[in-house]
Amino acid sequence: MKNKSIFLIALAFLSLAIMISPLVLSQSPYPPGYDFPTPEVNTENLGTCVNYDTGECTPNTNEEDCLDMEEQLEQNIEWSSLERNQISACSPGCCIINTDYGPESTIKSEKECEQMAEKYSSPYDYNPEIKKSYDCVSSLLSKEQGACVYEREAEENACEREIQKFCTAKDGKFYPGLLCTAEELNTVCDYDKPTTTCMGEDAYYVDSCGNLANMVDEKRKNDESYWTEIIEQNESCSPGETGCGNCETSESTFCGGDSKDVSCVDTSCEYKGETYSEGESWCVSDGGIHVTNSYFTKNITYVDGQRVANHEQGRELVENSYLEANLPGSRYYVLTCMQGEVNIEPCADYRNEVCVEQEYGGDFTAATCETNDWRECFNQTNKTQCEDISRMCKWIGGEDYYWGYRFDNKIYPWNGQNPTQLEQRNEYQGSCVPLYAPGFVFWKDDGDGNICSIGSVQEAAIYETGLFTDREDDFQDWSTMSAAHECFSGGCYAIPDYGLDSNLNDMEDIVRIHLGGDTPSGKLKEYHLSRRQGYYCPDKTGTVTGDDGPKCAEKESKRADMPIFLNHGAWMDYLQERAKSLGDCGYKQSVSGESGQARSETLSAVFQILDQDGELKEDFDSEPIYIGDSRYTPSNTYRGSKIFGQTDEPFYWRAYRWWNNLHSDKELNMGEILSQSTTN
Amino acid sequence: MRKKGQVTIFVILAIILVVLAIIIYSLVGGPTSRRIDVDEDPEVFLRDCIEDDFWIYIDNVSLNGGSVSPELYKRYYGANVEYLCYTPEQYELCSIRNPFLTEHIEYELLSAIEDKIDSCFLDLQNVFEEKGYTIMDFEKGEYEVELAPEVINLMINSSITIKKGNQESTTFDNFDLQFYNNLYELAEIAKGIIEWETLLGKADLQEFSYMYTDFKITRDLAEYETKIYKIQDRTTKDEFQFASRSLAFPSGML
Repeated sequence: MKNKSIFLIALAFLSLAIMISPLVLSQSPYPPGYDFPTPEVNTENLGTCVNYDTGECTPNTNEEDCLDMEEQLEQNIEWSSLERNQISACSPGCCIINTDYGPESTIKSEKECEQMAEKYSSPYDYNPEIKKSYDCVSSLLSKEQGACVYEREAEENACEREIQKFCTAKDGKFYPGLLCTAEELNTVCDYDKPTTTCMGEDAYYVDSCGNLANMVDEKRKNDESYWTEIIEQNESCSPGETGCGNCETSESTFCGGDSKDVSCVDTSCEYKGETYSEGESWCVSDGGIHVTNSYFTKNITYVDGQRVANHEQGRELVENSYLEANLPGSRYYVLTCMQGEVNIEPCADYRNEVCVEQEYGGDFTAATCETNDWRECFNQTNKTQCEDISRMCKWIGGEDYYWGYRFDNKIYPWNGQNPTQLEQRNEYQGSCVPLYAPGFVFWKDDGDGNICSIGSVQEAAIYETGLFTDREDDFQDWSTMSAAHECFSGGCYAIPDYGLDSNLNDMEDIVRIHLGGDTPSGKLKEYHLSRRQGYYCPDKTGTVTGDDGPKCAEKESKRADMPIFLNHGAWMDYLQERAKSLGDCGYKQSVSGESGQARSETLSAVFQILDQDGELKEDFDSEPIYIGDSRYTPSNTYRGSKIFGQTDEPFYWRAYRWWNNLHSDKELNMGEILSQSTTN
Repeated sequence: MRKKGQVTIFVILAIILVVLAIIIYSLVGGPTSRRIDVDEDPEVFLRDCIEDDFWIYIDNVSLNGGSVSPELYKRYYGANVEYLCYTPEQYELCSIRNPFLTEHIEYELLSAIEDKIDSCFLDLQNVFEEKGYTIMDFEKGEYEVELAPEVINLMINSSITIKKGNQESTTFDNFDLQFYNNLYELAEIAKGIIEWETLLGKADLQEFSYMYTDFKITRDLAEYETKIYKIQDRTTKDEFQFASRSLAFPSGML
């Protein structure tokens, strides 16, 4: 009778923290059902600081800071717990004052308006009914400007361009629609040697008194009529005309040049061989982030009336770039072309912001640093929710034959044939992880390295051996094929090479064998697959007879569910992708090309002998099978220690020398491992 | 005879050259001297005495976010840049720390320069006395710093009355010194940015850039989730920078 009670447990784990913790159990997400907090102001002790002398009201101010100001400035300052819009002294209105180049409008309280007018030595016009900037500008534009001729100190016929109200305030005579250089006014202002200035994006002439005249137009510069009346922009020269100050930002021209001789200058930008228009912005990164215009395009869509970003385009590229993008130390940047200069704005630390672009009209891009809401990902429990268009998350798993662990450890069954079960497994059997791996403070002991540990797993592969098998000694010589054959239940896919035979063409072959079907070629014993009946049919024991899959599995009622990983490669791929996608986790290169600690990804095996009742009889030391990207147990042998004999050398050193002798063309990167490892 | 004629020519030439030199010197002036004619314009003397220090303080407050010696700041490229909007918490909007920035800057500049003004008045008195004047009266008045568009006004309302010999006494008072710097408008823009920081967590730089086309506004990131804003007048190159910490996203879970 075969001794089915002899068990060897393989403990395979992937430790993703910098500190090796051999028995880290897989954890639920940190924390489960996490509530993403909404931003708020700590409203305790915050209110409005009101300066009754200047009319200025500052919101969100601490009472202490406000009272400090009162003491410092010795002005009539009070702190109120009310919000600014609830305080009458702070009530805003439309303020119009005269600046160096004519009247300008802004939204201020009346007292503030008065104070600002004093700074500019100007009268002011205030309308408390107008509360918005746009309306205030319209109000100003509706007031006709003209020449105000008045007496100033020893000067007769001084002149300023302003609105009538201001002219009246200085007892001047107002000439609507005229410039101060109009001959008929006979003022002290002339245009013999005009200067120029920028008003917004356009270039204007300035007369000898410093008054704004009309838009720059070289053809009319010496034309007396051009210096008589105020000419509106839409009646001026056209954008693009030579010598015209009517600049057009859409054509990348903007007012600029020498301060007294401005004109429309080309304000486009050259950057790495590309030309960008005025106002255009685009995404770049330092090394390690795979960002191109066409792939990171964000489409704006509306869901239930809410504007949301669509991260569908480029998703596939981003999903698969976890090895070369969002690396430790990398950051996103927005570059903007402003008045011929490229301004660089870094996005937030730790990749809490990523750069996204939107294209307009095919050749104009606008980029922003957008919040990377990666923390929300752990709350998503299925593929649809996870990959919603507004989320920066990706689902690992979710395809036929490619599934994986859930953070809540739940397993959705599939009997190998039921389409509904398959659909459910595709939708639910996986993990939702960040699309843009965030950064962590992994260099500190009390930093964020613990988050990486949620990517750790522990699997138990249980073997069924014959009565006369010497488990302690013979097992050490077992090849990976032998180990696969004797795997009875549990995580057989954790055994190196399981299901990775070259003549297993795809996962469908493995599924067919599970259902009792035939092998692609040859016999079952020639594959790295289980030959224990109990693996395929839970109520059975013993070896699978025949060359093909087990006959017992042909009946649905007898069949075990398909494992969530069909082969060792799928298991390793899943674990590595999930680990590296969580953040600065796993064995990764930094943005500067330096490799991380290989031991941050370690797969180890612990062997135990159990008695008939499943109780532990004997325990053996943990032995690493993979460190980083390197596997250093030879592929045809499951455990290497027997080959090297018993010495005091650490296992990995013995494996290193053996491996290099056998595979001289595939030298392991042990230097780093040795420098960072601890003695086991 | 010929030799005498040649000498005469040279003498005439020399006289012409000396006369020309005198004319040029009187028009252009000789080498500048630091010692101003105080009895003509003591305000120039005062300005000359004060301005180096005052410019240092102006540069100081410009790079430090409005204070000469800020208390809460982030070290950034050699400057202690003050937090004008700050919260120590994660994922919270900041509170405004200097509610009236313009007035605060005026106060800081005044506090910094007061002692120097006092010392310059002492120097002024000494110079008058060296020139034989008697100080009939000196009244220390109030000093005031005012930020205005494109200029910083330093108003000294002290008065000094001097007399020399039998001449009538002369009184000099109300000294107004102008320092051309656009700190006023830079501070006004800063206040707008700070309001965005406290209300929304981050200012929209493109929006500000389009509103204030004469200014270059940039934002950099420093440690501790700190933003450093820098505002520069494109024409005068005057600049002002400050720090803000608002809506800070740390690493890891919140």
